[in-house]
Amino acid sequence: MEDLRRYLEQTLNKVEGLYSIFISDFDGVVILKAHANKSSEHNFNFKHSFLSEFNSASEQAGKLELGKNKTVICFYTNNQVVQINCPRFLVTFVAAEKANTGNILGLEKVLEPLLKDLRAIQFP
Amino acid sequence: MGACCSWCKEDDTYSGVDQERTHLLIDPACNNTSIQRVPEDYHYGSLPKESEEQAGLNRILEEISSNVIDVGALHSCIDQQEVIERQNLYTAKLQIVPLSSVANTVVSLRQNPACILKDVPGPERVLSKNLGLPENYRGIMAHVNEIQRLLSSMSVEHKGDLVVQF
Repeated sequence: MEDLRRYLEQTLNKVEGLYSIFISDFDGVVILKAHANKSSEHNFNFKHSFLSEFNSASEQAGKLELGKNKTVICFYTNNQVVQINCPRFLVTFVAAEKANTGNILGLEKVLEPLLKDLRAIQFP
Repeated sequence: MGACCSWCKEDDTYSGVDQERTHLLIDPACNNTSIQRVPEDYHYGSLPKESEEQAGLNRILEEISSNVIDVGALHSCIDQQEVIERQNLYTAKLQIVPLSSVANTVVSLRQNPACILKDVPGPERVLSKNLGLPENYRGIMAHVNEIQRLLSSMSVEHKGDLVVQF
């Protein structure tokens, strides 16, 4: 488990301004997470409903003639939240508003070995 | 008979042009060319079967429910207790995870990169990092400043002619 967390932290450090990464199930229950520092851990300790509602919102937005979508990107005043719907998991990135969103989206490929290992586990 | 022929000819000549016989208001009932065909197995006077009607209604309901944007459904229905239980379960499962993919990737990352250039996240952070200076840095800087001062004060003092006539 420590290896997984370390891998997630290494991934976190690849993008400047990226504060946190959460890997959760579709109900928003966190399986694995990594924070850039203690402050991020304190600030972005989200409830499970926050994570899962991104997924629900994505599904509902698909009905607005937008079609089935995979990624939701929300910009707030100081932060941005990028959520990617990977098979069986939700990957949520919390970053500074000025962080490079393209680089964050590129981390999906970097996280693929980690997600592959997680998929090998028979989660309920 | 002659009048009839004359009318027919006129109709051919001015077909598509407004005439006194042309309707100002287009009757949709007259213009509707699609013919509603009655199914062959339909018997006049008989009502559709109840099960068919129910199936049709169900289909309509399903279609509406899949198309409607239900804001109430956005809220997660699992309670905090279940979240804690599930997190504990995940943690227990993660302890025995086979790390084939991550381990291979970590090993490949540990190998020396083939390229000298590598991706440095936040180069300005690296460039502005405070270097570990030696303890005698201040002494070295004092000596360097003294040397610079002495160099700047160096001058050639005239004592006599360099070229002397014999």
